[in-house]
Amino acid sequence: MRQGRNVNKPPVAPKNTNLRTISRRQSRAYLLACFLCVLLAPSAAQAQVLVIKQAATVFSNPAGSQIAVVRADRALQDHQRVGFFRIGLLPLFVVEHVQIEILKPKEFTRSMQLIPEHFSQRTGAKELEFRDLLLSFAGDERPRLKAKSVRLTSEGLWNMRSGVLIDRGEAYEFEQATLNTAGRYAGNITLKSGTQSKTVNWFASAALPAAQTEMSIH
Amino acid sequence: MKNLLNLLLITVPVALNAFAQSADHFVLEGRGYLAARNITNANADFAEAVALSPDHETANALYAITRLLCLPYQGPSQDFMDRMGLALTNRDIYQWTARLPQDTNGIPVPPNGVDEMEGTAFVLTNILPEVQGSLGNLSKITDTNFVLLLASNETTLAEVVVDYGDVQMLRALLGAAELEGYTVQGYNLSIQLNALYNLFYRGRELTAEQIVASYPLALTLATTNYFPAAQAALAQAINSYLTASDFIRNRPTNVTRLFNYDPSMGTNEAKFRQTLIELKSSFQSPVTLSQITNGSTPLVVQLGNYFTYPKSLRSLLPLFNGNGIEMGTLPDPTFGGVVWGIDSNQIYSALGEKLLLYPRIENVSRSPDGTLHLQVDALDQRRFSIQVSEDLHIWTELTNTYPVNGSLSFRDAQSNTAARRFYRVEDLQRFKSFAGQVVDALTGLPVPGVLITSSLDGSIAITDASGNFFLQTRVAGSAIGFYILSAAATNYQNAQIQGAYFGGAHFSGIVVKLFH
Repeated sequence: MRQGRNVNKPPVAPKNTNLRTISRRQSRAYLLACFLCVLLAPSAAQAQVLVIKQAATVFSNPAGSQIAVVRADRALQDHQRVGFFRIGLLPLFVVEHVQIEILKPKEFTRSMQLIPEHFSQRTGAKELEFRDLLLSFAGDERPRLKAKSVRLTSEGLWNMRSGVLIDRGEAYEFEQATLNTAGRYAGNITLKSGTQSKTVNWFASAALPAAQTEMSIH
Repeated sequence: MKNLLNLLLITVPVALNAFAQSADHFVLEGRGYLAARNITNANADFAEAVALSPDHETANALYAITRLLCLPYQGPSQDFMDRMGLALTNRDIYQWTARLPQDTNGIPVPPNGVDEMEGTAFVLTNILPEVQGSLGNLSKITDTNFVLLLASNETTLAEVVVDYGDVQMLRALLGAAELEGYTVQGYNLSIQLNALYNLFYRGRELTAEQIVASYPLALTLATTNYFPAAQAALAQAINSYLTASDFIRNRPTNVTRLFNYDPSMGTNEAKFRQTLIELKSSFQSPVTLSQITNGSTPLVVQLGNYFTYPKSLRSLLPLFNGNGIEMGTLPDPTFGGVVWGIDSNQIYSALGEKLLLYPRIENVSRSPDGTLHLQVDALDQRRFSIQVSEDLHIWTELTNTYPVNGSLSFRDAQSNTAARRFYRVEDLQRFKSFAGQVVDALTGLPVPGVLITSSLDGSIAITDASGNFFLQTRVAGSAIGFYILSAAATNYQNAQIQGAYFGGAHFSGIVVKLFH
């Protein structure tokens, strides 16, 4: 975890950022201007940095209630890695040091669907990656999910590498994990570490307080 | 002045006509077709350009790329796709949505009557020539300053610059494809695709044992003719990769090309590169791999043996039993003198992650006192139950234990008095088991002699002097479920712990705390 970050801080925008109102589903996004830079970015440089430092997006439900806040340090244009190399033909939009704070646990599923949708729409990027992700619920003492990187697919899958998931108070370290955020298996997260794997319905248990432990899970 | 005009009138048309017939003209026109997504016409123009100027580097690069992209439009490819049951429409490479017929689980279903050999023949007559043609075109690019800018409308993905390093990397990849193409020619792969589908996705309908029995020639050597070409292809691919890697790693860091160095992968890439060098050296003599070991055991390879003295793959297979394999039947853990340093037990262990493993009673001998001594091939780290019966109906467990060095050894003390005894060995890996420790809740000290009972089938275990227990159930592992373990001990209150499991059969690290 990065120094000086407080995942439990209230969902107020940091200083020196500009809030603005957008659609009723995704209100008050003020990363827009920054992400528009993507379209203008020259393709010559590797890992073109587009946004520097602290921006936040607040997501709301149709009734207008805030349900999640996403904070990010910077966004950049990178390329997908195949094998040992990054492929210039396959651009990738990267958002670094992402903190997702879920304000309404009951609307967890909705939040997890809105977030990638928002980034895709705003940037026009077909491929998105979050790096150094922390996900927490308002009031949590520690994040529910940490992941070194998350690749978001158009089918609603979050493919994660190197992280820790907290479910019902138990911590699971994983090398790889796949979270379904949409469809029939929404909420299912499959964790893999070495040759072991396990699947947990994370959304179903997410409304429970982080510290609550009713049973052990293997 | 009049003479000058006359000269211009003569020379300009000649020059224009010359350009119209030049390689540059065809490259320009071809790129126009590329931008218009007409890959066939683009390829034809690039072919013309190469015919006019065989050493034209840009023409060769574009021709190399487009001739492979044109493959799906060629008659034999269309016929093959038809044969495979691929949807007849939407086979445009720019908007490809054609799919093979699928079952309800989304698994592609091959049509009846299609033999794998058809695919092998298609590769030989259609794919390999184009791959080799592309390799020939790319080999014409020798200028290390070569640069080709492809616009986003030409690639349809993104603008990209291809340089000499990228060309070498493409040669490496095509060399690997060529190796693959030649390798499959070497073996008899005459198996109905539908049979393989039934084996892998409908295991209950067809087993590996049945497939091996039904196709007695499958995986035998078809010909040794292609192995030298396969070796040459691998050598070329390795050389190209090393050149590419060297070039790409030494590029300025502020440029983006088709293949770009990723510093975070630098260590692994260096290991890979070194391994390639060593594998190539092993064409001549055995080489100890410096970057890959088997635990503390070094791995020695000699790829030359694979290419020079090819073996039937079938001769290297263990004995199949249904969809499992019988322990102790792996013929050659060096796979024909190609690799040393892998223990048979490790191979079984790896196979056991996908297949059932059947322990095999390898040796039965009688001791001087008349008792029987059994030796069983089995896998370390897995628990086995040795059972006995006098009528093949009622089975009693004699012991359950772990093998040592791939072997279980057991003496049946009752065997010298019984009229007849039957034995069987059961792999307990697929059954759920629990391991952990019982401790005093206040002092944290281990509690020996505690009776642990499983809610799953009532199986029991007693904690040892260190408070540890191992409880083996006979309940098959399942994806999801719940369990309760009850602990009972003198002078302590009974305790229960409950939990849920999501896959896996063995649960360890369970701690039960007892209160007075």
